[in-house]
Amino acid sequence: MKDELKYKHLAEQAAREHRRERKIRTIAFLKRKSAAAALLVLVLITLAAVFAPLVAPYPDQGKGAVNLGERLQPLSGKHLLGTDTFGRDILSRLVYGARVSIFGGLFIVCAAALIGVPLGLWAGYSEGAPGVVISRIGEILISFPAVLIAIAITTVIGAGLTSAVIALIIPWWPWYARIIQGEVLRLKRMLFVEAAQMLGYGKSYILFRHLLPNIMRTVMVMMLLDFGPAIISIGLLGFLGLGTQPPNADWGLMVWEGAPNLMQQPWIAISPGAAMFILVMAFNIFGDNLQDYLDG
Amino acid sequence: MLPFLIRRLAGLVFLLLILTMLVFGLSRALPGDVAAMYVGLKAKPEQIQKARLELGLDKPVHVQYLRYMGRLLKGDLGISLRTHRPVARDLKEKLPLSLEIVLLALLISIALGLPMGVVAAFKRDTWIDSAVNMIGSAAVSLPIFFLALLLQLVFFNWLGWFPLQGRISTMMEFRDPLPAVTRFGLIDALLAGDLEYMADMAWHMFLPVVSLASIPLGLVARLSRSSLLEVMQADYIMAARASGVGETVLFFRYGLRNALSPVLSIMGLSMALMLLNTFYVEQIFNYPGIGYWALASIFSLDYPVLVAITLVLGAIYVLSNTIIDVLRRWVDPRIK
Amino acid sequence: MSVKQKEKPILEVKDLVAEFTTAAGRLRILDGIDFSLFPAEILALVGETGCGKSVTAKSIMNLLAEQVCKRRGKVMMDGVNLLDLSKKQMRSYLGRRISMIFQNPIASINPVFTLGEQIRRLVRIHMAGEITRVKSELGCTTAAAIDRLAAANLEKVGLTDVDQLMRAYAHQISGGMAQRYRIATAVLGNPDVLIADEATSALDVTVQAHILRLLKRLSAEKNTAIIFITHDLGIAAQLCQQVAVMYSGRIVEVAPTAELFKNPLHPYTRGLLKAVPQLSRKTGLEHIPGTIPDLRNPPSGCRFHPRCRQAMERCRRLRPPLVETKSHQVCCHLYDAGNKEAAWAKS
Repeated sequence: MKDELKYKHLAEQAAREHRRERKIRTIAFLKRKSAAAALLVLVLITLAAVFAPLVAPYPDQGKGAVNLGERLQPLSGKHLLGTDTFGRDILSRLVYGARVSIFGGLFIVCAAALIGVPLGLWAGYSEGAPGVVISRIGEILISFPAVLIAIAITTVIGAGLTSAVIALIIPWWPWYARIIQGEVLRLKRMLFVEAAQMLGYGKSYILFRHLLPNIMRTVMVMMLLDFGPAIISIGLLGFLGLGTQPPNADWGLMVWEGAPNLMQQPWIAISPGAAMFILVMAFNIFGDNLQDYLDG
Repeated sequence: MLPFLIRRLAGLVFLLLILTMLVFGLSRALPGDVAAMYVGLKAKPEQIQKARLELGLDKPVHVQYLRYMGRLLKGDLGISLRTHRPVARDLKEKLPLSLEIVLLALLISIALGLPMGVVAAFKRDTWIDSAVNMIGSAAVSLPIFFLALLLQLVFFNWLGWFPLQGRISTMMEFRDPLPAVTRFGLIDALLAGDLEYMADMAWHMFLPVVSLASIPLGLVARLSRSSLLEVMQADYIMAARASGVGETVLFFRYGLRNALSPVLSIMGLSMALMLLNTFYVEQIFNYPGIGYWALASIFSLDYPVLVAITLVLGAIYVLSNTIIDVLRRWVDPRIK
Repeated sequence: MSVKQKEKPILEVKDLVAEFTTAAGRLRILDGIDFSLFPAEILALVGETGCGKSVTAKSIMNLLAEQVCKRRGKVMMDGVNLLDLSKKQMRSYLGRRISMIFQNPIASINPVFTLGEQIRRLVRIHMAGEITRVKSELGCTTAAAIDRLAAANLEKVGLTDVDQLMRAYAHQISGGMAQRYRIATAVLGNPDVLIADEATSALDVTVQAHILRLLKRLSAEKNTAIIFITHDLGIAAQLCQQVAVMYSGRIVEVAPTAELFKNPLHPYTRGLLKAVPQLSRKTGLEHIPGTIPDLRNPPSGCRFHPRCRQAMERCRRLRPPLVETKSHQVCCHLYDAGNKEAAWAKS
């Protein structure tokens, strides 16, 4: 009884130490200027996307209402980033387009992880046939151009953000399955798993109690680092007209719409492109810093 | 080494087989009448019927597939529904154009990215390191279509240093075509001794190549930096240092070779990514390669072309990964 | 031992302090290390994991990144303080005057170059004179001379089949062979001091014995002084003439090996010796209560006092001075002048 109390006390002390250490490291992490700046950009863009109707100067134009009286206006106090060929305020459309990038990216990354991680765990843990089959299927899907998948889906269910997102998830999840499979194979050779096996724990118990927590960190970092590529990919499909359909706003689509006027009214194409660049860069810098933080 | 190559080759054949089945199946399963596409919108029902027989579309799908595979083995990829030209001939013409800019971009990204990463690691925590880090992050964050348009705006519209689009100047198109030896324009022009032609092509290629090189450049710079920094923490580096090996040798000879393996791994991914990015770059720069062709075919649902392109891209993906694996074994003897 | 004391030490460490800057704050890993090393002497540096043994070695060698580890004090070799040297100046000492081998021999060999490529480079760096000598003697090319010298050095440490070995990679050889190879590369420049950081801890017992014999022979033949870092008191007793016991960044006791085992003075040394299993002893093993201190806020005064059964009031306040007895140097308040009787009474 006394021993138990002692150990409890020690455990609490260790937990306190751990929390203290984590706090110190978090502060050190946020002190890094680039991480803080990136986080600020991410928070601002996400807030703008969530509260688009309140943030956008001309919400109806953001949603697509035309305003032919003010076509191709340059940057001004009234229209901070100018207007497009339909006279729509570009800033308002950027704010609405952020919704597609942020929530589309989030959806793709989460769905890819939700499909890929369980399959990767299964493939890695059971080795043998499931592993081979899953990695072969993954290989095929990865070597399939996403544009082709997108057009196939589009012909069936029509063009739109849904088709684009599905088309991106299909070749995306195998990356998660692949990495997790490798990670499971690596962890399986490690002592604590062997020890658990020798103690007679069941497969699923080991899988979920011992391996999953170790793997979650890898998955989190991967998801964060995948955000940028996911946003770019949505933009790429949007640019080809295989994503969000006009008159809705999407950054990739906006670049495409602005491309014909590139030489005369460059702001139409440059603003959404730059917005995408800034958002993706913020995600990448934040992800890098987080990875350093988790490793260090 | 040989068993490894045979295994890889078998994997490639298997992958291509599955890809043909998938794309072929897709082309038959998706809505849209292939025969109607072949003869065009204004065709009469009898013409469509005739085309259907001609293309063998009246047979069951598996028979059609076997026929297609039989012809494929003979190098016949069918006829484009859109242009009615043999797909194989177009492919032979357009693939080298794209491969040329992709390989150039790959070369540039290694030639610039690797030294950038190495110098950043060597000068760790200095302004050089921060600069390389920023450039690397920016390079991988640039959406390719945005970068391509930006380059056009700056280098064509504002500075006027490079042409807006195309592969050669209009003036050059009236010349006799180059003898197709390697089918890579720059090399063929060099072999023919036509330096003017070569310079004109290089001038046109510059912006597309820069657009394509951006992402791999960032990846290589960042990865070689982090990989090198990790290697420099290794026991064997400390041991060599303790035995009196100088920092420069430690870094550029001992460390670099160890750090190379992950950098090579990223090259396979870069190849695949750049091939897909040719879809956008060639569209924007009006460059008549496989990407431009693929995009046009996708929107007109030109299935024979799509099957061919999918196969080629899949094959290039597997082959480039195989080459990279061979290189990695050479660099790192531990990889079995 | 008394003869040696009159000799000039080859390496003198005085008040060596090493501070690490980490996210959790500044940690004083070494808190004033003092010891002297004489030619051909084998000195054991013993202590628990985390007491700063390896850091001592790496601080002497200047192997730790300057941004992370700040060093103060003196590491004297021929009247030069090694801590004052730049990395570049230090390089002329590394491998030639002072060298080091590590715990994991296989990880200490670069995996992507053959053993031959690596040792040949070191031959080129350290044996320029010998290369010209062999060249003129045998009338062969530089490359052949280097090859010959590399092979000779490998044979000297008892490796056989040298030609084949030089073509092998680190992952293809055994731990024992790897450590022999590492010793060959470390002593190829004829250093006066060799630091062996847990050099045998990862090896099988039989291999361990071979390596220990090799080190002993080297020390005797080439007059090389060895600092042998270990947590294994048994090995220290077998190999070393002198033992230094470390606790939490300080050396708490230094004495000739036999003397230390027979008559340990510091309470920590006593505890350590009682924790070693011995067949002759009937009583059970004892352990030192508590754990090694947290370096983020180390105990005041003597860092051992929270675990010490003989701790006194002043142990909490004052850092104990180094007391010299007939044969020992000990860092403990028990042996302060005026306190001696009390100490003897208690022990």
